[in-house]
Amino acid sequence: MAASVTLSNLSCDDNEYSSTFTLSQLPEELLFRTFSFLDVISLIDMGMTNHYYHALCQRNQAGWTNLCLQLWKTKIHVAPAARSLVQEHALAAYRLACADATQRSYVTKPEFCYNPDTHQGTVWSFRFKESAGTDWTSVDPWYRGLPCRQMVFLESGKGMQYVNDDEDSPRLLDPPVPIAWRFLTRPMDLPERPLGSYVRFTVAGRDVPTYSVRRSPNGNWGFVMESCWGLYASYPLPPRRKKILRRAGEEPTWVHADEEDWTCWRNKRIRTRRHLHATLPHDPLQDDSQLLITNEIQWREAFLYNVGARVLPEGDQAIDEFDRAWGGV
Amino acid sequence: MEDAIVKLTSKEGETFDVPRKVAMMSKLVKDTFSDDDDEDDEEDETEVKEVPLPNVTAPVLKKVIEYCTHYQEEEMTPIQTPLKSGTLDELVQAWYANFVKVDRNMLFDLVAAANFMDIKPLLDLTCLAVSILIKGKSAQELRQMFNISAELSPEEQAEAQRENAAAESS
Repeated sequence: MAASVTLSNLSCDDNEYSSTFTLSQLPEELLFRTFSFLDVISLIDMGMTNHYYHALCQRNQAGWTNLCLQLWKTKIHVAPAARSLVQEHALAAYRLACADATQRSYVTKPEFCYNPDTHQGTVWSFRFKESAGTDWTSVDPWYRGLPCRQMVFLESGKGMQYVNDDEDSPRLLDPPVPIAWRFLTRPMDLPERPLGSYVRFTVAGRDVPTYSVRRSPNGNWGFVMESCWGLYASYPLPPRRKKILRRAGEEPTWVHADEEDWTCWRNKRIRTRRHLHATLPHDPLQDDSQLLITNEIQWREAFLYNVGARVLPEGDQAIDEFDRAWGGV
Repeated sequence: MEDAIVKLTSKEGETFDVPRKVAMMSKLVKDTFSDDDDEDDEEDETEVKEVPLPNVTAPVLKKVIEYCTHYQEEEMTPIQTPLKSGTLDELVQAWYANFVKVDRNMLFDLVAAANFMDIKPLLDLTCLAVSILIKGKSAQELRQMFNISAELSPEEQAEAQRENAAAESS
């Protein structure tokens, strides 16, 4: 009869131990449980070891469903086709969502619009660029450090103000002047792109320079659309970061206040509270010089608006027609 | 009943006397008792139960008992996904992080034992420890570590590398 071992003499000499199991001999359910703790890169690398693990690591049980959900909850727009696929084939859904986010830079109508009946859809944040001029920036709340104005665009082609002072019941209001929207594919100053790449707004009956759509440079899979004078984002834009004058060094320079706080804290000279609304360092949407559509790029549309045009031409012939009408400008 | 002892018998026939409360962390053991509870016999309350564990070797069973015993004093922090950290020391208490610092072979056997004996927190801990062995290693390093023979075709490897690149960009 084997000797009893009580709690008092528990010990385990690993050097003498020989295993009953190796990794490959563990049942699939245990391998799946192990893989469920892995990040995406590690899971893919595990799947590259051989056929057996390649097949296992492709399956939903390896953790892809959770990886999809974890990634997507940090993203603004996820392709609906990917969401539909996740239960059936989570890895394919992951791939599809990532490919869509990196390859598609135009917005679909469902992504662009808002449904006032279901309160589903995109609420766009708006601010003017400094290039719009002080007449506009002086009445833009963003320049006073306040949250951006918010707009929604209905399928009917109408733009409305979105007011969310009471989170239980946001309100849609007619803007001070009527706003209409439509997609176009070939504005005057910009190359042809798929439908959903450009938005034409008509404000108080006048076309304004085209807004060009692209993915947000913040990597959040949201969209931004900008013209030479304005910027929209399909997610809340952080309030404007305060700037202070840094007097250290030879030349005084303007820096963002929260970066200054961080620099000083890091240097252990001054410990200050981080700015409440600090955004990611170097958030390109905070800085007009980091944006893409300038007055120089959109000069024809800007010119026509400034001389009072009600309709801005579009299409392949628009530049030729402009040159014929305004040659020498 | 607090002082009741359960005899757990390993694959080799080695017997370990374990307090009932400790042993009942195993759902397998607990279910064994549940099956016996139908009989209302006063003599059963003093009888020492013996539970054979033919799938668990003695060295592994010692470690399992060690885990379950310590758990009575300090309950392990539940392991939840997504993981908040990539290091064991930041996910569970120090004792538990040290508990799984064993050689790979023992670790795999602990995984299997925790599964067989149905001890969920131990299963989570050991699977997590194995996953940490895997994390951050290339396919080649994993093959060497786990003695896996490479069988992917160049096309499959290329496809996986593309997925890697796409995943990194996301």
